[in-house]
Amino acid sequence: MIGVSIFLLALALLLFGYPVAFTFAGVGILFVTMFDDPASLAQIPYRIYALMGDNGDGTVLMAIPLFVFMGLILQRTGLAEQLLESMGSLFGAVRGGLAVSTVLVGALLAASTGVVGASVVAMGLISLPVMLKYGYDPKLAAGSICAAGTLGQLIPPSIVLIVLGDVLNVPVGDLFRAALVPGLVLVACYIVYILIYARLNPDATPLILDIDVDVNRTRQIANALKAILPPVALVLIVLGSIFTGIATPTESSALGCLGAVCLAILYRKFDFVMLWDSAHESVKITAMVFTVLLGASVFSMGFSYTGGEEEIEHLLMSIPGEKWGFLVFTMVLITVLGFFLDYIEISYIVLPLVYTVVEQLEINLVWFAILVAMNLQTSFLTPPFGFALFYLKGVAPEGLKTTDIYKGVLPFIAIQLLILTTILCFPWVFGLTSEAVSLW
Amino acid sequence: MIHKVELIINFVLDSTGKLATLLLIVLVGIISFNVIGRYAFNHSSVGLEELSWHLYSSIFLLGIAYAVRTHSHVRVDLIYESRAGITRAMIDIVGTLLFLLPFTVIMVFYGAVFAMESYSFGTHANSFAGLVEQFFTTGIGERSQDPGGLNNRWVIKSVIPLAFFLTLLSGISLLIDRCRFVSHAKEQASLIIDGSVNTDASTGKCSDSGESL
Repeated sequence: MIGVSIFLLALALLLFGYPVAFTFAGVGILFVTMFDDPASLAQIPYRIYALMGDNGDGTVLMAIPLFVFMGLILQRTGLAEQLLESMGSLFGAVRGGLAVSTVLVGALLAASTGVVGASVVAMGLISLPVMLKYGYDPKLAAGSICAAGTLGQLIPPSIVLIVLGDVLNVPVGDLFRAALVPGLVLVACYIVYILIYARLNPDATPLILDIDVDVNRTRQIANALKAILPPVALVLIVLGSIFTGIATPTESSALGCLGAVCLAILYRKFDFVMLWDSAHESVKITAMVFTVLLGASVFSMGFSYTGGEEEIEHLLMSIPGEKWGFLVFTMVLITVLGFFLDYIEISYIVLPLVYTVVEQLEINLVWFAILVAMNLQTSFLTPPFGFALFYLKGVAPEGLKTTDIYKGVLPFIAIQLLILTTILCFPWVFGLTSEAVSLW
Repeated sequence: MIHKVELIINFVLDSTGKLATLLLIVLVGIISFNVIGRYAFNHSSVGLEELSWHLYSSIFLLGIAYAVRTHSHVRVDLIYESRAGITRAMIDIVGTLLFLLPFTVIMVFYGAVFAMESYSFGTHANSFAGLVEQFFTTGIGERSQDPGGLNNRWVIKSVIPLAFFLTLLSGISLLIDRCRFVSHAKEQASLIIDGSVNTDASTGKCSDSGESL
């Protein structure tokens, strides 16, 4: 039972709020020295070195700092503001149009910047006041912003998918490709929901009448295209080069940074201070992610040396219902942990534990990764601890109640769970398969 | 004296952060150069490819210490957020003593062993000038196994102990900061009990970063 107790101890200690990475590392070291040969700690540098990229193994993680960098440069070009303004004027005349345009902008931001906090904050600052001003139901407004802002978790290129690819030993390009359809379906479902809601509750989604529709229609479209096309082109180039095999994810992320710089120059927002600040911020985020990775690596050393892995494996294999029992259990577990843990911790602590079982049950790893990514995305939205909710609350005007935000995201969570279940039961709808690739 | 130590450490850490930032920008340039070179001039360099993962590893390793300094490491802030400054400071002190310091000390030691192993590989020139020459020509110790790869693998391997030494320093700086916060808060509290200070002072500023958490 040492293995399980180390796990519970680590989780309990985490709650005090000392940085996750060091807590995990400390607990791991404690257990290695207590229950195993302390000299085995000499293995840790080898584990770190394996992450650094010799032998070409760890190099896919190199895409993380670069995609973060690209996202932060784009964020500073005022991309979100431009997209929201032009989309809003384009769809303002449709019932529910402002919410729809918020979702569309969210999807575009997800594909280009992928920074959840930044997307929610930007849309909360720009889109929310506009929707409230025109008399939109605050619940719908808040819900659509949170839901759209978290799309970055799923829509490629997403950091979550890179991390999952690393943990589950799946090519990141495959994951990006596999996540595309579910991501787009999710966006489509959000929009359909908003349109239906608008039709049923016309009072909650008033038309915007003071926008001069007829006169400037062509101009509006031209303006919108001007705002939309450059980021779309950048995303297409980045993803396209990965999908066609022209560049590895790492290479395309570096080119994406160059592209982002070009966009910034195009928008006349480029200067070296902005470039430096973006790089500086990326270094901090990267260090945070990798320290959790290192801490988890030390922890899992203590965990496996003290027999924890066998215990967990035994536990997981004894769940009735084989594959399906295991999958449902894992999904529920990740959802519950998602209430208070971040995606990085879940990916690096929980997934290595279930990995061997996933393989033994012959579950398709790409499919499994998409399920996990979808699940992690939902955890960003779930009250009371979803990050997106905090971010929105932080920038929302005084009048918006926390309960409005909570109630507002519920339908969107329901949509996500619906799609998660669909992917679970009918993977072929999304071009996925539940069976492991057979060797024969 | 202690304050001076803290200032020096923080200066070193801030410089580390700047170095890592610079390396990230260089990394973008090098990878792009390599990709473009491959398609435009049909030329790819193993050396540059290796240099790119050298840079990337240096960025995240050096960033660890800097992220402690900037409080960028992720916490589970369920309880932490709602606590008073002094409780948070205590959590940080205990956590640093129990987790961060032992971890970094062990890593500095075994990291150094790891780097030394790589350095002591093969033959070594017996004079300093000879070693310098060897460094720039055939390289010292372990080298890349690919033709055209980089020599002197011990350099990148030494970044591991270096990075954790810096993290150790950042832990010490954090400890100093938090201890000062606690002692100031205690002082204030005792003054309030004495009645010699009005209550406004209890919220007074004690340290630059203690407030910003």
